[in-house]
Amino acid sequence: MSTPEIFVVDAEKGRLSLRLKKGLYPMDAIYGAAYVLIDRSYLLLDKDDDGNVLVHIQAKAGKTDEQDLNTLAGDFANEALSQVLRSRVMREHKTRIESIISQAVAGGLGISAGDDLGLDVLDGDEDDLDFLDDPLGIAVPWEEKFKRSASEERPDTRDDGTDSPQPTPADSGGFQPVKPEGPSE
Amino acid sequence: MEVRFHQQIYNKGAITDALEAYSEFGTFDTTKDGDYIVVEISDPDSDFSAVLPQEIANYVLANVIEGRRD
Repeated sequence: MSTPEIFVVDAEKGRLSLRLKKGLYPMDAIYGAAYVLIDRSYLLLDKDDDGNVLVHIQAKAGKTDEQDLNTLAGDFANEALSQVLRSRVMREHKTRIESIISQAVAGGLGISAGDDLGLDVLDGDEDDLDFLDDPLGIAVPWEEKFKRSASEERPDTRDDGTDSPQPTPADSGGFQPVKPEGPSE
Repeated sequence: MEVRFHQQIYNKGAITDALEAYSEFGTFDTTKDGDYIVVEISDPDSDFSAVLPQEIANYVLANVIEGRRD
């Protein structure tokens, strides 16, 4: 028996019937293939006494010949095979696919693994924040934020109350001879 | 006219849902016959009588498939 076996062809009524050997195609694949063809044909699924699945297909298009029906049967068989392969790939790569999708979703939200968003500040009693409040300091301009710390680190702008002379361009480390200390002759 | 739905392939809920959707187009009577749920169609709408059983069968099949995906 070839699979799927075409066992009824009625070109006049545009109908044919397929027999799919039991166990060869999972039911999910048969349902999937039927769903793909449902817009251009009428389908009725059945089972025979041996447990084989019967697929009765009737073309929706008014006039059909035997070749059209054979094409329809071939399309169904191809789609069933495609569904089997698809479900097999899904099963084998399920973990990898889930991982890629979750990373993509997290990336879309701007979250990378282990990120602390610092949103704890917004929890608890901070629900009555006004729209002008800025608990995370996001609205502080860059100049204002870094001005103080930058000036603190510069020694020429340090104001510690001592009268230390301000360095000049001449203090660039030129040769300064030092008189050697020691017994004079 | 009648449509026979094998119970290992179709479920009762999908059939009931389809018959409700097509209630304007005919009168339906559902019985059980071994492994099959048999839908008897009477007083079909004259404009759709030629395709009513097939349309119902497609609707039931789509219901079953979409129900499995949930």
